[in-house]
Amino acid sequence: MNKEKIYKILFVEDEPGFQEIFKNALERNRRYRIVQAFDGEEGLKRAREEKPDLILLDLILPKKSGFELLKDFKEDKDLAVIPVIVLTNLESGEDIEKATSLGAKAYLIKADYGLDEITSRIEKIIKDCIPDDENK
Amino acid sequence: MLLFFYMLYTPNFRKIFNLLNLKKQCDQYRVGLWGCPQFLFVIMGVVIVISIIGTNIAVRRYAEPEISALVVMGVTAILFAIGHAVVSSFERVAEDSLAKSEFISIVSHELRNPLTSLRWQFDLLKRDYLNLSEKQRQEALEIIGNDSKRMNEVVSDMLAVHRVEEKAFKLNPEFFSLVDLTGIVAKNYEKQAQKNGVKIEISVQENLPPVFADKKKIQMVIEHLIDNALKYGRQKQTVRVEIEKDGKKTRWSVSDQGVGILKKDAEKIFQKFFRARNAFWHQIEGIGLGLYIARQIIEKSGGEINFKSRENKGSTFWFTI
Repeated sequence: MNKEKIYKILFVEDEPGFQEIFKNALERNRRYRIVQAFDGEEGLKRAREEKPDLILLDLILPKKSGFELLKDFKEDKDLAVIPVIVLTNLESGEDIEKATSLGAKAYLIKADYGLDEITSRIEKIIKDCIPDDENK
Repeated sequence: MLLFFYMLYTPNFRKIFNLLNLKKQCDQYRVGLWGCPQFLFVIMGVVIVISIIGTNIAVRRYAEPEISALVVMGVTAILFAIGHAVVSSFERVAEDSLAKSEFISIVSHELRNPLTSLRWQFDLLKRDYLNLSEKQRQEALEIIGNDSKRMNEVVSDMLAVHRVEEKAFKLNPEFFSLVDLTGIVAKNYEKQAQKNGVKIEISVQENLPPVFADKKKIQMVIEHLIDNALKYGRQKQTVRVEIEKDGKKTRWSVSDQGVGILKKDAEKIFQKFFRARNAFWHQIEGIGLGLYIARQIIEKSGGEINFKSRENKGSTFWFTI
């Protein structure tokens, strides 16, 4: 296994508190590097520039909502292959269905998890979603 | 006789009696008698019975077919009008319940966000307390403080609505200077304004007399209106507050250069639970009660409240007192 491979994770979230705490929590694992975006437009721009391995996406965002972003990702050939995990506090069945139909790989409700739980959940999904270099 | 009393106490009979107690039913929906579907149905029934009897009499008395045709037409028109009222009152009740469920989802979201943030910051402090720098600890504590403040604001708004709707809602009017009060509120919002590069300007007409109203409640109104102007306005703009004489009253207004209000949202803006859907998606905090509370307070104080707005140019909200 290629131990040197660093996974780039784009986190689109407007609350600085959530941003900081996630960056700290996920980057404890040295293989993850977090790229931050604080609104929808910045999220799309960053996704295009950085070509991350995974996108963590909040739904309620300034300038462009998470749903709009999911649509944009889906329509962009390069971005459509990147797995997206929705991370939100919206929990209506309608929203979950909509996000999943737009291609979200997982839908996590923030309030359901403690900090350790949510980070290990995300780490597990990353392992499932991103094929290990070992196989190449 | 005994049988009659027995019947009165059987559950079935009571059920029927409850069905006939229209006022109670309409109160449940929280609508007036003339906006209540059940009541309108009864009225429709009464009109039908009267019109059957009336037509009968008219047909017997007047031999001319024109008159009976006219009567039938008149009765049909009345029935149509009542039918329309029944349908629209049903619509109103349905819309209300839809707004309510949307409101619940917005409130739970607005409470859960700070709650989650609070929980995670707390987890972080608990787990890594010794490894965190003094600065990081300070930051975490500051975020926890802000989160609890945000939750408190949501709950206060809900309580305020409950209070203004209570029958026992009372205003305690006194003479005070609207200008001084506005100055105090604007000062409280200075920090928030600076963060967005917004300037709050207050322009006041000279020699304004004091107003007679409930100072605390009016402060709430001013807070809601300035808060909205800051939230919905653009960054690096000026929020302008004007206070001037308007006949015997004083007129207070606040203008922003923000996104404005969509025409289709305009008539709903003072309704309870209403939040422009686009406001929610653009992460403007709030639960859709501020303007409703403001209107209740101003109207109960004998004033007027309204706004004018142009899409993408900005809005002016004003009230008189």
